[in-house]
Amino acid sequence: MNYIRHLREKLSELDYLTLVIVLALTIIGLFSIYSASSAGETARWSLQFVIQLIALFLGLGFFVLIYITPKQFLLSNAWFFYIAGVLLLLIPFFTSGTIAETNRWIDLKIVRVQPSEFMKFFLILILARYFSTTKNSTDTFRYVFKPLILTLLPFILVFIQPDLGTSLVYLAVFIGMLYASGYRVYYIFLLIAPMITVVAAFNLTAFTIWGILLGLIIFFNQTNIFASVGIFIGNIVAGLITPLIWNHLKPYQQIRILTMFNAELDPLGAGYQVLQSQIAIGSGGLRGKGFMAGTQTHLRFLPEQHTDFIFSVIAEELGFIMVVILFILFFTLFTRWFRMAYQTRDKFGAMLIVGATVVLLFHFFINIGMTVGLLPVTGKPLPFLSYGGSFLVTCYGLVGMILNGNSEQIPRVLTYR
Amino acid sequence: MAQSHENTLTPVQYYILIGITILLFGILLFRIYDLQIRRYSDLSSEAVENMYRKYNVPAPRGIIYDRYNRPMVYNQSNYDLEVYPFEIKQSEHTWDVLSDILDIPAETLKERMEKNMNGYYRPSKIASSLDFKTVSLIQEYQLELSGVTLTSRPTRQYAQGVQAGHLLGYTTEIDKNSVELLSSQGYRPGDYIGVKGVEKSYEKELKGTNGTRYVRINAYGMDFGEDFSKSIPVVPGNDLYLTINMDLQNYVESLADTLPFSVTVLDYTNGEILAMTSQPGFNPAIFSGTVETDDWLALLNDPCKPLINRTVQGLYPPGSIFKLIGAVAALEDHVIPPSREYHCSGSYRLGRRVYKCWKEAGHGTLDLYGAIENSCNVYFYNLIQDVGLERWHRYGSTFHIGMLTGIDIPEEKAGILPDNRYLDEKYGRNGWTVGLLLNMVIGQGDVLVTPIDMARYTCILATRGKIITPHVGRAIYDKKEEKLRMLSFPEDTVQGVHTQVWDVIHEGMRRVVAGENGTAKVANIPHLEVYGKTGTAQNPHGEAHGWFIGFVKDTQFPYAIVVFVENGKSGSGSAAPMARKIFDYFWKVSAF
Repeated sequence: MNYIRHLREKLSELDYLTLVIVLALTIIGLFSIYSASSAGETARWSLQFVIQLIALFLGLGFFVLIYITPKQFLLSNAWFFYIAGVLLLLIPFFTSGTIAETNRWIDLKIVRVQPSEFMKFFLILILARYFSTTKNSTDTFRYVFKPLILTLLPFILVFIQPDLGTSLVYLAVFIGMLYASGYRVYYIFLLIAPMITVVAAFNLTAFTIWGILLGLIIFFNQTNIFASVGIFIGNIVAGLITPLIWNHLKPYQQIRILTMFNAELDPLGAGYQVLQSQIAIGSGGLRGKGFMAGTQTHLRFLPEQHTDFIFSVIAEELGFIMVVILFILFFTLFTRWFRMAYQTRDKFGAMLIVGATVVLLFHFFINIGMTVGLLPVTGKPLPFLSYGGSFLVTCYGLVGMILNGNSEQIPRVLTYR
Repeated sequence: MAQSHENTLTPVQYYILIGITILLFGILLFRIYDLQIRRYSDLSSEAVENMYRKYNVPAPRGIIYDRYNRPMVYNQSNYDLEVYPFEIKQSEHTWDVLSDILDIPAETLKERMEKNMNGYYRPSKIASSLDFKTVSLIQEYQLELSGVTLTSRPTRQYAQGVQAGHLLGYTTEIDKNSVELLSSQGYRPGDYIGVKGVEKSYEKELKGTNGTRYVRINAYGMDFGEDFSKSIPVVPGNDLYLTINMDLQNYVESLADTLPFSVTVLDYTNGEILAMTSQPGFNPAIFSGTVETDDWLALLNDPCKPLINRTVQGLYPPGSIFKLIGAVAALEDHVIPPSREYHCSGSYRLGRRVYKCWKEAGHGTLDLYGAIENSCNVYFYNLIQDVGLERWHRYGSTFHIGMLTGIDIPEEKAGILPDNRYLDEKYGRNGWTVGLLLNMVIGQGDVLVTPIDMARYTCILATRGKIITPHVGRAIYDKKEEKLRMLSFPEDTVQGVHTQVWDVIHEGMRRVVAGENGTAKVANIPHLEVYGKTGTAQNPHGEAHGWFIGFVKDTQFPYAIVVFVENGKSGSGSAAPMARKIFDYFWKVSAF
């Protein structure tokens, strides 16, 4: 009867506001998918709408599954999940029939599964376990060594699929959780520095300014003169070899990155998509063109409108007012979840919440940033709104993980620092 | 099991996380505000532009009819090939198919597209005036040719036998610079514009207003049909009715001789031109469609300069046809009576110079009638000294010599009727003598005229002082108003020349044709009362030019004629026989 009591306790703790907002977002998404996928055809129940509806129920099931799973179980089996996740990531490399020259999918005949989606959960789990149980001091490099390796392994596997976007999600999760675990900001900066170095390396002026800035920050936070000099030189060297690595990127990746800086570089490629997306959003104005009345959407000027560019469809058809409403809903969710992480007394739970929230926030920012032309086209969907079964299920799972992390019961088997 | 009862996040960490969230939301919201509110009008018009593909529908030019409402110039469909750069760039196969059909290398076609491109989403012309076979091949392979369109453009077609390049002019595709200059008048790239002749002078009437078809499309360029509420209908160009008699015009053109010449036949009562030509000319049909470079170079490099319209642009000394000005001046101011006689011994001495008559043996003693009939130079040398430059110039001016006629053919040049000031300027205040005047009275020296100026002069003589504007336009049929608009041209009268004076001139001119010694006896045809005057204009660059001016006194044929033959040696030997042929022609044709 322990089991029944556990369920009853969980139900009483459920954050209904989160659930209501998430469902509201999904319904807005369903309508938009309906509009976007019936573009140019006579109105009828589009296939995508039906699939998304099914995914919603699967997602709710997944949400419940993760929510009711005792945290103790998650904590204890974190390693098992992590290793299983890494193995799953390897499968696409060995199965024939790659889709669009990528190794992202496992084809189960009925559905295709992206193991990199599951890896998000497993990475959060293993990192939450580490950060809530490690005895290493947060002031040392040793503290970060293990979680960095745990992150880099899936990061590299996904990066070479290649799926730059998702690999960046892993990195964001790692940095977010590292920060929330109390690690020094200066050290986090040192971890991020090489990435900024790489971007700055394409422009001599930017690279020079960045070099000076980097030197100053290191100087004022220095603890060990040799380490400081080493870090600085390491960054400079990384910046110098970047152009060589650049030449080894696939052309489409180069173009995607390049169009970040100039959308009109290739008006028919990635830049064209971004341009059309901006026209769609801008022409929506304050009130929008009306549901099912977006010309950009219905004449198919919007690329991949029901998946990556669903936000443009909403902005075009329902206008700035709806955009503000969406933002309020998302903002309520993210701040509410961070508050849960802040208030919970269970560090493992807090880490789960931060990890899952970072995933969703990262997707939100990257996706909308892409549709409005601020960020490169990485192909990341918008949580709860974009079409895509796997991703919707993942999102609901992440919500389950957040609310589970927020629940009162605290794992027993492990001691805290 | 030690359990922490403190929060796992510090307040600072919490607020930083919230702060980052606010920052990310702020960045996005600011950007969306910028797109949806600040740039709303720009971006929504871009969205509208996206939805439509604009097709320029060229207006068919007005038809040009002759005097009897027979079409001389009309339109026929001509196919051009255009491509949409944004669509065609996506398929190399399309280029290959096109290259095969047109038998032009794909690279050349791509270069043409780049050259004519004015926007990624606008059509760019890569071939024009396709033949029937090519057109049908393109229609056959349409499915493989996405982004390729055939556009039909009405092009100029000429009635059987019409050769009148100088009269009609031609049309040509407007060049990029002119498009910019004329865009306010509705010209668009690819439009055709009139060059030379009535195509140019009546350009505004003939052009019409281009239409625009707005066709809804989607991102794939798929056609959803025309949006008639947005489309702008074509207004065809107005039709032009000429005063030209097409048969006579064709006949006159066919007189082509080894020597360059100009002929103008006009109605002296109102200035309506029945036929006018300048030879060598060109066939305007070679400009329909694309001009072959070879044809164009041949025209440009021809030593006979076929592109110059001699009738309105050629400046020549008029020779003896100009003597009548001196005669009018002398008679009207009572300097001499017509009966006044002078003796011609074949030459005339003034100071130390000898001025010759064209007849070395001399004409003997002549009165004014005889002087006109024989075209005696010596008579006029005598006469002009009593008349004087000032008076001669005054009468020349009342005949509008040296002023533009205002003919509705472009690029007319004005002749020169020298006066004191002109000669002072040219030769210096004391640099010229009365000897110049002796030359000028017989139409030599500094006097220069165009054949069309002489046509007006002939009409003044024929009508006893009515100054008409020679013209080829008769009426315009306005397509918008749906009514015929008659064209009118200014008229004027020579003041202060009395009937008796005209009588004398007419008598003299009649004798030129009908008299025993008349210099234009060849032009005397039995059925008509023809008046005339020949001229032989000395030309320092070569053989003398031949002139004949004349008119028919007949209510049925109130026609004047001017014939000019470049290097024709003499008026009576070259110009008058050509005039005779023309008189014969319209007597023969109109007799039934």
